[in-house]
Amino acid sequence: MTDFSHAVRAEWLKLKGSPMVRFSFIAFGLAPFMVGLFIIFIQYPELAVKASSFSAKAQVMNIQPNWPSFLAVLQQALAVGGILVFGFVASWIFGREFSDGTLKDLLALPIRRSTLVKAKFAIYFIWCLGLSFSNLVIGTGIGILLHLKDFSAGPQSLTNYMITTFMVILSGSPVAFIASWGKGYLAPLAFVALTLVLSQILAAAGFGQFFPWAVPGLFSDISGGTNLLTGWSHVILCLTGITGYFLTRIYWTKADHIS
Amino acid sequence: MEVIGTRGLSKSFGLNRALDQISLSIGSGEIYGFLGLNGAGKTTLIRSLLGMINPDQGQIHLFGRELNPKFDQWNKIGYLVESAKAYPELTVAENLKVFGLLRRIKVPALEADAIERLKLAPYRNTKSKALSLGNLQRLGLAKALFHKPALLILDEPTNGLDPEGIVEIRNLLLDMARTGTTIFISSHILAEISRLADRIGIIHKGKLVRELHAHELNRQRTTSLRLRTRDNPKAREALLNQGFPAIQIHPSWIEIKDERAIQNPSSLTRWLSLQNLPPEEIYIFKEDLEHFFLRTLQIENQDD
Repeated sequence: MTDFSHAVRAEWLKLKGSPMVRFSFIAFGLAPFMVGLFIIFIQYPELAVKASSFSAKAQVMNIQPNWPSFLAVLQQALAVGGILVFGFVASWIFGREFSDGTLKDLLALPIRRSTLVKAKFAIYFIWCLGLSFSNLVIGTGIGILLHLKDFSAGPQSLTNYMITTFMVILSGSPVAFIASWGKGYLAPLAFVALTLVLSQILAAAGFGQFFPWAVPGLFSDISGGTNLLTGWSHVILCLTGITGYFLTRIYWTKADHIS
Repeated sequence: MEVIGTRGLSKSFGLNRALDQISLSIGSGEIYGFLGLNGAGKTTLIRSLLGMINPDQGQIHLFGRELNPKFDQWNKIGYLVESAKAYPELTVAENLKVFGLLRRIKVPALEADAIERLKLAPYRNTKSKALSLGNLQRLGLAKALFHKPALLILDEPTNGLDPEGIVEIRNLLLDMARTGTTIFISSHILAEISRLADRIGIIHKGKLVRELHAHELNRQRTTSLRLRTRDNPKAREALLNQGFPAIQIHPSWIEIKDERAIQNPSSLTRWLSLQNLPPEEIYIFKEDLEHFFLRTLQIENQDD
């Protein structure tokens, strides 16, 4: 076995018993239930009378009781909620070593620090993929229970869902650097909140396609039918992901670790 | 064989010179005690030895190899820096397993042995967040030595331990040193260092101000005769007239740093009695490590 696989196994073991894993799946798993609730209000308008704000929101989002609409809203929930939840995951994986004071125990070992960073990113990737997949499974189950129709566009929707997943995972990589540089959870969580706010503002101002954290939302057609993304949007997002990885790696390997 | 060697090691954080031209040479099987006030540079030196801090100047050699990003002798080194920490949701055994994986050691018996040696067996399956401070410290030590390192670097290893635990750890470290393990240990418990170390280094304001062997320590520590009489000024005058360098160190106490007096206090007592100034109290004062340490720092401060 390689150093990398040993490091991944060690990281995997660290997840054991962690409440953060359960909380992330519960919090992220609320999204398909919410989307299902919207569909129920569309399917059964008489129920919507008792929850008029919910119904109004469903109308605004133009949700239809069919698979293409259901999967599109699930993808949008992933694009926005993922920025938040995947950001939490990255801040926890990297920030915990600083908050728990365990970083110093990782810095003078036979496994290179760059390999440890790689292993942490691998766990981040697997965890986020798991979150995305679990929402897809829950969503599919809810869709079947609601007897949704027209699965003809299903494969295309699934492809878009997976592309959105990778986009959101890429956008979370700078959070790992902020967690390391900020030595804990607080700075990365503030950063995640800031990216969400700026995404809203910049997308509304028409510059969302240049802001990496707004790109997954725009890709998932959250703006409603207008594809604002250009080739540059994808390049900027990829560069953001790569930069986040390398900054984290440089910080772990080169910085003075004095506390 | 030189296990730790530093040459002209310096490090500054802004205007603060944390390490100033530190040169050390520590041999195999030696226990080197490192003393210093808070902020003197102990932890900066320890972190530099472990590659956590990049020195501005100077070199570090461990086991004869230069410490650089390609250094590959980390499995020969065990360490505990400042207070012990662990993954709170993992048990004692799981915490050790994480480091077994990261050290690429495939012998679970080593982890089990460390648990036994550090008396953590009753807590093997206890989550580390539920451990007492002392047991957390034992876990930190278990992580440092489970892989049987040839060099142990320990920063305040007895933090949080009860007196029985301190004795156990001292004996454990002495046993390890006897089998050839080199131990570099910093502690603020000076008596602990004096009981353990073969050699002692004193760091002050980033400089290594004193280095001495444990047996030298006895010679360096001052010895004096202290006495008290009914009339101390008169007794002091009489002693000075007799050629004893007596000084009044306190309104109640006279101190004589003179071998004739120290070697033969009964003669001095007789002589004072004949002068009608019999001592009410008399004893030999031997400077302890704490006094010696503070005196060394005072001399350094005066030199500055």
